[in-house]
Amino acid sequence: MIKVEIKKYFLYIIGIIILTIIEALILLSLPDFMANIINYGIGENNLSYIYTTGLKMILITLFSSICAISLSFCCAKLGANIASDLRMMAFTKITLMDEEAFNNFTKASLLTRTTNDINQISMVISNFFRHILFAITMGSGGIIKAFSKSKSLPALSIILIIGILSVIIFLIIVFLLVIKKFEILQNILDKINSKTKEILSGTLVIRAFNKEEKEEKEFKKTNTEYNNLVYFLNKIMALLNPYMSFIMNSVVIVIMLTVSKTAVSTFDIGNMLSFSQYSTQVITAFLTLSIIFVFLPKAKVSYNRIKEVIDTKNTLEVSNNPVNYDGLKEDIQFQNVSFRYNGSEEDALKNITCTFKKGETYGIIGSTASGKTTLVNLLCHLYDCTSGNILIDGIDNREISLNDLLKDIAYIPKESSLFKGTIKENLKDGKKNATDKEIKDALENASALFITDLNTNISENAINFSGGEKQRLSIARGLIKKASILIIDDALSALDYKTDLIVRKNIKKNKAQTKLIISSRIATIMNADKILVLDDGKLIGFDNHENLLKNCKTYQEIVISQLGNEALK
Amino acid sequence: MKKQLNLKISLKHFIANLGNEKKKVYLGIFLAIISVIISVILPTFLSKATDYLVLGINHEDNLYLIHIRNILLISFLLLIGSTIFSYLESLVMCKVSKKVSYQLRKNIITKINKLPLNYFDKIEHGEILSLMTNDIEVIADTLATDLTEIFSSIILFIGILFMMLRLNILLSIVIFLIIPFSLGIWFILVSKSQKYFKDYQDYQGHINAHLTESYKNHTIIKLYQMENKSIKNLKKLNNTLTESVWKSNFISSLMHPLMKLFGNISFVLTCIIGGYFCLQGKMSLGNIQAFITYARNFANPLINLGSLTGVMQQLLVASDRIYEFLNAKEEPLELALDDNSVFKGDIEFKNVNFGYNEKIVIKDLNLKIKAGTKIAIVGPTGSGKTTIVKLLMKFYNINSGEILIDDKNIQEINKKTLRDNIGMVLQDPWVFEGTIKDNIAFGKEKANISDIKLACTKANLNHFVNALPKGYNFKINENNDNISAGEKQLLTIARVFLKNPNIIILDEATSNVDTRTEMLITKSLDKLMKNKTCFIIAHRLSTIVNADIIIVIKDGKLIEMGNHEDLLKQKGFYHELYFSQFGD
Repeated sequence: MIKVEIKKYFLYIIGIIILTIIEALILLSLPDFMANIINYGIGENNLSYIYTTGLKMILITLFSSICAISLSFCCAKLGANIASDLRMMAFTKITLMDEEAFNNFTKASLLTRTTNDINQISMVISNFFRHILFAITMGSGGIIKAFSKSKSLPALSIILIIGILSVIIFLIIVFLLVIKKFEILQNILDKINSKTKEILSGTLVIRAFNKEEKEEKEFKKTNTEYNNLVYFLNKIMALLNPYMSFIMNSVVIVIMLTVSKTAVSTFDIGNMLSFSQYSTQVITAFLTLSIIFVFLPKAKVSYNRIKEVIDTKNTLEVSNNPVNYDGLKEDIQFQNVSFRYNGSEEDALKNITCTFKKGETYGIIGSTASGKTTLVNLLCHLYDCTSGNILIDGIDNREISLNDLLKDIAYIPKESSLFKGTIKENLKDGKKNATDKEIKDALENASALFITDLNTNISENAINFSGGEKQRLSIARGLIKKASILIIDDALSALDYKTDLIVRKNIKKNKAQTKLIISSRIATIMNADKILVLDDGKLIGFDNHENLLKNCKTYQEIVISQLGNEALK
Repeated sequence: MKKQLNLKISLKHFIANLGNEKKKVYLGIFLAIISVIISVILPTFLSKATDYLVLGINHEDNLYLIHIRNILLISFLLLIGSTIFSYLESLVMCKVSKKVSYQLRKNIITKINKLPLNYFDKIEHGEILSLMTNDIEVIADTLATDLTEIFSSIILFIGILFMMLRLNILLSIVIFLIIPFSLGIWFILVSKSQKYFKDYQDYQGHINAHLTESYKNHTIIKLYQMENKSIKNLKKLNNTLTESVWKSNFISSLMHPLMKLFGNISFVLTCIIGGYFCLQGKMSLGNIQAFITYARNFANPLINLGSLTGVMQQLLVASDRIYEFLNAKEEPLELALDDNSVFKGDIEFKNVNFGYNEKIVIKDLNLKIKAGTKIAIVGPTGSGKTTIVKLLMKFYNINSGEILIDDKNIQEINKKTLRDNIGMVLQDPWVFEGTIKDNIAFGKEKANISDIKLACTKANLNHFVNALPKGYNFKINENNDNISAGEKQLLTIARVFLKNPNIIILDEATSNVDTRTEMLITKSLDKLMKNKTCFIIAHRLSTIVNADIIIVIKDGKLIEMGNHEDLLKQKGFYHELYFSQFGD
């Protein structure tokens, strides 16, 4: 079970149960009042009896309406609050997941889990309390009333029981037919989602290749698959109503037929009429119950999918008594560090040993998938090393509070991920209480002076900025942090050389900062104090530019390819 | 009367969304009405049977028994008829729902492909996704189950009205007096809840956008310790959403108890007044009995209509949003036909000016390129380099001037013809979930496997693919992260090889890959560019020194032009740019 604070909803639930019972009892008593009017009012020619009974009926009817309105209120509140709490719970959980746990889900599926699935559950809960509970009360009350009316004619009870049984059997068959299909349904909906996303992100390429029609055709497949399944389900679900009303009316007809053969007095007819009324109520209750079958299978799937998110456990090792850490004093040491991604067959990093000294600049170079990003991710303690240790000022990074550690690292990612909001808000993500002056300085240092107004809005995915502009804003966000460790993951090589150079010069001004710069461009890192050359997860060179040129063949190849042979001289 | 006008427009939008299925909707409504009429008649037969039953008891006559049997048999046949019609109606409407939602989804995808590119600067992807799932779902559900119910409820209401009038006019009038009262409340609730429904949909969209952003940037949120901020932001949105959810749900569910109240009150009134009439001898007991059955059901269609209002509002809001999207302004229609013509690759820009959102991006660009020339475009970030090639591809339309290919104005060339002649490799390689084979065949639809393999060999991708499990049938996953960035880029180059156009555009094609892969990519690009008109945009100057012409763009203006040596001699902006790469 997903644990929710039942207490919060307790009052609503109690209220709903009490109100439902009161409303049902009142509605069940109305036919009795009617019978009394006929029997004693009309039968005994008593007009004032009719009036007083009528007045009583109006009063309790009004009262039942007040109950029903309060009931609607409670159900609306309950449904909305549960959805709201579930949404916050799931989102908080996802936000706090460590990388390892997060990677188990696709982003599209997380999105459906936190939107559609939660709406689905909230709908079922409010429906359950509004209609199902009511139907159960009405149904069982109706059965009791009906049986009490049929004491003189037991055959009537048998007819009603047959009617109810045929309804139950029918519902079970329907349930068995659809339950599996609903699970598939959600999966196809996910597919529609991710295909749409794909088309949205590839607009430019799709048009460049004139492949609009091809994409549309492909989408058609999923679309058809989804629609056929929905159609199948709808066809079955549509049977419910006609079938129920058929059974309901058939029961009434058969009751009349039975009574016509056996009835001996007017009293029997009176009972027959109220018996029919109660029978109708019971079957109507079952009809309402059948909406469970529309919602329950979907809800079950949704529930499991949300539960899967909420039950996910973080595996990152964090110390219970973390060592306080307030900035790098000496150095960072990688000691024989190896790392393997969960489910992978090969180590992404193999026995890395190296030291980064405070205040120096380090370049990291190597081919794609050589482990550059993995190395800095380990330093940030986004993942645990599979073996070996990372020591920061001599302390294992698992012993340091993650909070303190991240506070001290400014990370500029490969893909400039800016957030919806103003420029100012985005830069303040780097430093919460940054002043306008600090923001302007950071923008200047990142060569992002094209920004004239700090309150300029950044839209979703920062589509109102060009790639280079985004990159420079993202750099500014990292620079404003003034942490003692700066990590730049290939963010500079997307800039033109001139801007790259300006930004690097500005970064150098902060002498106390240890800089780790990943780059695929040699010019960006050749002036670093030391350059770390990675190949296939192995450290194959760790020295300055001149020495590497002499000793590291891979490094030479890279330099020649980018700067030409003259650079070797 | 602005509200009603909106409702009218919304209805129009909804009908427009139905497309070709309108006729079937009418059929569905027709079937529903027949089924309802039968079910209205049914109680009269049953009450007649009751009358005979009473008579039968009083007279102990077998004749009545036969009458009763006949009446019950007819009732049963009517019942079967009503059941069949009712299910047929559902089948028709399910089919309509299926077709309409299929068509709408298809139209949205087609629309995405037809909208001008700058439309996507204004709208969030999350919003379009929400159209695709939430809004279409609302329309599909409503069509399948609720739409015909509106009509059958109305007919049921009229039918019962008629039956009641037949039984006792005076008593009917008393019951009818309740109608204006209930209709009044109905209107008030409809207009009250509209705002909350709109809020509800809007905030669902905002929340979707926030969720998408957060999941995409999960790592960055972690590294910048923004978890609390992100959670707090969602909480704010979530609170507003929750508020509008419970309010809209509460208001629309109020209809149910209120209508039930009217039903019960009319039931009670029938008992009282009917009892009075009965004592006066103006109405028989049987008549009262029948009247009660009708008076009781009299409320049902109103209850139904009541609870349908919520659904209908959601339906109208959803179809408004879809209509709005589907009717957004598309790229201008093309007059030129796709004539499959192949261009040699002479290109000329004549006094080209371009800007969007009041920002001038390209200023008075003049450029003449002979077929087979390699032209490199350099300049600082944001100077308009990419815009130039986007104009050539007609992704945007220029404000003034003209662009000519083989002396033909591209305004007079069909977009498809034009783009068929141009191959493009972008900085961020776009691949999709599917096999490597399908991803490469994206370049040419009817390519066979040997063509694909040849293209891959040319693009130096072949040995990569062969090393993958299942080779060309290896599936790229949804996140596109089971192949490397370099492989992705080689794949997009293979696509262009397969397409084999005479004009090639390389937009930062190698900036996202490492050097070793870059060497491979450069080699394959060299092959690709042979004898073709090429536009090369790159930061890395080593990739462009060999170009025939280099143009330098700054702030949308062409400031320098010539080959590498010429430009270095000029000691201008290019000179500065070139030497900045060798360090401080």
